[in-house]
Amino acid sequence: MDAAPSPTPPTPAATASPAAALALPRSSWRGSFAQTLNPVSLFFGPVFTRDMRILGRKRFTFAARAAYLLLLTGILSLVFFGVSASFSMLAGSQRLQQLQTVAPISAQIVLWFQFFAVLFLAPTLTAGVICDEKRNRTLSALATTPLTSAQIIFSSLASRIVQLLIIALSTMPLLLALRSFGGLDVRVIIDCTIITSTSAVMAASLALLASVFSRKASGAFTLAIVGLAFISIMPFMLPPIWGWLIQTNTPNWMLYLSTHVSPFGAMFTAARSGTDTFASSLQSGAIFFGIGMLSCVTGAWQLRRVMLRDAASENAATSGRSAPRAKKSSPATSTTSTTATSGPAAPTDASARAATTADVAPVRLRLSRIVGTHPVAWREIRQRAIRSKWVGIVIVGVIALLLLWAYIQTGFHPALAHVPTVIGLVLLIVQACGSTSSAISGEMQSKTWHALLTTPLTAKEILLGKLAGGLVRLIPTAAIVMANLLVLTIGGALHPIALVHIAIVLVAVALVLSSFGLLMSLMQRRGNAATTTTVLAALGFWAVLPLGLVLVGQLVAGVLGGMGQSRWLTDLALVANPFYLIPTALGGAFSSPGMPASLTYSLSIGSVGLTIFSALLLLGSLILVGMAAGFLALARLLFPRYSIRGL
Amino acid sequence: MIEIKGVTKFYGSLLALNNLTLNIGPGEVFGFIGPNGAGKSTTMKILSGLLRADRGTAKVCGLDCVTQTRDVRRLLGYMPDFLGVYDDLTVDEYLQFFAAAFKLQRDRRRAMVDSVLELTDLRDKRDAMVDSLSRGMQQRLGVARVLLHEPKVLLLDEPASGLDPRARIELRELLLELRRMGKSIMVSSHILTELGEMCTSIGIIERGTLLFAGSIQEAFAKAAAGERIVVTLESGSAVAPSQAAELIARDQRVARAVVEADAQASGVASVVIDLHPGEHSHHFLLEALIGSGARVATFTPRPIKLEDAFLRLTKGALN
Repeated sequence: MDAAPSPTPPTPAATASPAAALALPRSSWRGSFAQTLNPVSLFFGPVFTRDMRILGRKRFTFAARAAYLLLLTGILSLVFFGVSASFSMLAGSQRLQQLQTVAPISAQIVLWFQFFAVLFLAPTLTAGVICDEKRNRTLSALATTPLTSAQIIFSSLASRIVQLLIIALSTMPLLLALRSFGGLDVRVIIDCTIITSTSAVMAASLALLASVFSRKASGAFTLAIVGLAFISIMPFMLPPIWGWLIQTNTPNWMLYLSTHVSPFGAMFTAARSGTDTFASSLQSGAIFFGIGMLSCVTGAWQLRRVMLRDAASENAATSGRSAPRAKKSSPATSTTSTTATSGPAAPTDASARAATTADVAPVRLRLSRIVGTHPVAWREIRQRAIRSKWVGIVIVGVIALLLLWAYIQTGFHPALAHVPTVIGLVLLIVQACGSTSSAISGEMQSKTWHALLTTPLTAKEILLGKLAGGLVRLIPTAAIVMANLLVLTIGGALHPIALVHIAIVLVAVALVLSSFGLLMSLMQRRGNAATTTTVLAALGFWAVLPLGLVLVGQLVAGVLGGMGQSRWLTDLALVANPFYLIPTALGGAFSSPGMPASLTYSLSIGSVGLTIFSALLLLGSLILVGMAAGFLALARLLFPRYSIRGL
Repeated sequence: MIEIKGVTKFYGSLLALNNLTLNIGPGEVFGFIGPNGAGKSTTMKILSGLLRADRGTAKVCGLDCVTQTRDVRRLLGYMPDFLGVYDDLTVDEYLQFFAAAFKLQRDRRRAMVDSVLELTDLRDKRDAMVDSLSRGMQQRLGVARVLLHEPKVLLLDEPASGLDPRARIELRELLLELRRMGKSIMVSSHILTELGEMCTSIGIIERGTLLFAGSIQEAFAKAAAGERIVVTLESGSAVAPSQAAELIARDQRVARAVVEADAQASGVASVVIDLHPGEHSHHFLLEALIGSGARVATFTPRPIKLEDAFLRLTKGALN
């Protein structure tokens, strides 16, 4: 009798879930350790090659480089022509002498521009690295290869650093050209390059670390910017805090922090010509590089845990079982009521099928809510800026305690209105840039977009719904700013009109950035790219444009022979600039908290009263709101074309 | 219900649909068959108003898919081949979300959600998070979503793709139920046996060109695929299998009669007889065989499958 052929046992590779495959023991820890330490495989592995190919294939990469160079050349040209025009009345030799003074200024502009650009570009390049892998469900596939987490993290970092290097190197011809006119000392250029490059590594690494923990690239970007802002600002905040607390001289190590740990402080030190700051720059560079590497090592350490969680949730989605991270499971309490009163009839064998599948596996449960009449707005409004309610409560609590301590220490000092409000404004801007920028591109990536498009919802309903959600997510930040000002008003230090002024400006800023982010989200494939473009637009409008207009004004004044004639251009740009309006509004409200008639506001055109300032502030805010309306109208116009992209 | 006339669609220089003309009547379940990249999904996206044809017109219930898109969407339920789900919603919220998107009144919404949950057998998963459902359940949820606004026409793009056998059977039962409810359904699939069981008509498309559209019987007829009968003769039969095959092949109703090679090698003689398409009784074969002295061991009719018709219709069709 022949024996029945036994079925071939399935191979582990064939049956193992991604989570199980990840949990397989490594072949040899020594081999793995050696591989981890090998710089070639660590930095230039397959992930590096893949990223370089992808980035090299994108038109956006080349467009960004070209835009960067064009912008830099444009600013330099304006500076050169602006300043040289003002020398037109001088004699030939004097003119040449004066022109020589332009070269160092221009070189400083190039160095600072490069510093800001690279510092900002670094997190935008790395913020989406792991988030996108998670969203595209490629992380578990990557995790089942022999690549280590360290290789994934460090190779991703290396590929982005190469991009930043290309951008940084592209300014070299400009710096060299400026050297021929005098320019800057080579040592200053080297010091600044050390600070810029290591700061970029730090910023990119922080964003990479944030990408490991975040679900969305925009969230990772915001986290990285907040982290970077903390490292940049905190060293400057420590000495005054120390002074208030301890009432003694600031210790040297604290001053060292402000000049070496803050990238801005380090760059300021390095950019000063005439002093030998090479050793100082090296120290700062080592600190930035160290923070960057520490972030990457932490990221690599946590990545495997994230991969396991990701694979487990994929597995859960395939089998219907609950993922390990599902903590908020509640008993299925509301699953019994079924009152089919209209619509299609149930099949006769429904109960039989229910027995076969419905009870196969437990799933994550949550009590269902009632969806509103505007479904897109309903869902968007319920998306939290911070996922965990408790984290939000802790953040608000810490801020409240800090402010309380500051009120007690200073007794309503004007800085208590200016500093938190400006920090809040910066945070609001960063948050607004990311709040709507992945609203549509995110849905496209998650493949939920097309289902939405086949409903009778109009473009207007979808866009306004997304915008409403984005604005609602900004409320906590704005509320903290306003609460601080309210306390100062109740305390009698600030005139109540400041509350109205600041509220108007914050609403206008939130509207314009959210609308622009939404437009970018529609036009860009990835949320990260949309966030980057929105931040660039904000920087361009509120930082580069006023500067450019000042320079254009100088140019015009030089040509016409009078500096005073150029001010209206700058004033026009400043009237819609929150970084100008808010400090001015607070300064005026602090000048005389009692009578409205005695309020004076110092503007670039001179001191004005409450009525004129309010009118100007309203005009500026209306300009921003008008721009927001324009962006929304453009998004609606482009909706039919861009919404079906990727089909 | 669905009327496509001369639709042509290019993706860049790639011709995705080539002068496609198709009509699907009320209550018809139309199976759209073709390899990957043949143009099935493109056709469905044009019908649902997501894509615009470069040439030609597409209408659903007499409404133009380009100029009357919003009205078409109210009549049509489209389930894409890959269903993305909102990971922050429960099953109930997900269905409410789309019910609201389809402008269902609040009081009617609850009843419709209950009804489709019942129909798709997801009642017990009402409060489950959508992303934690199994793939099969998510597909059923996708079907539930497209039924919310009681559409007259359903477009289901590869609804059974990636499902395990049990989930496939359940989905097939669900589609049969929808067919009984009188919906016009256009369903694309690679699993031809399933389409054969539930469809009233099929369309075969390859590289953007519609090779065939009509009832399944017409497909068999066009593919010259009639019935197949396998006859085995006892070993002591007076007539050799080859002789029997030759004898039977003389009849006009027989397309082909051959001795099966493998069967010959194993010592059991089988004659495979392919009949011409059409209704035929089989007694003439038995009479001829027995009359010639053959001792028939088995006589097994084997219907030609949709796969065979598909292969015959697509073989060399575009060359």
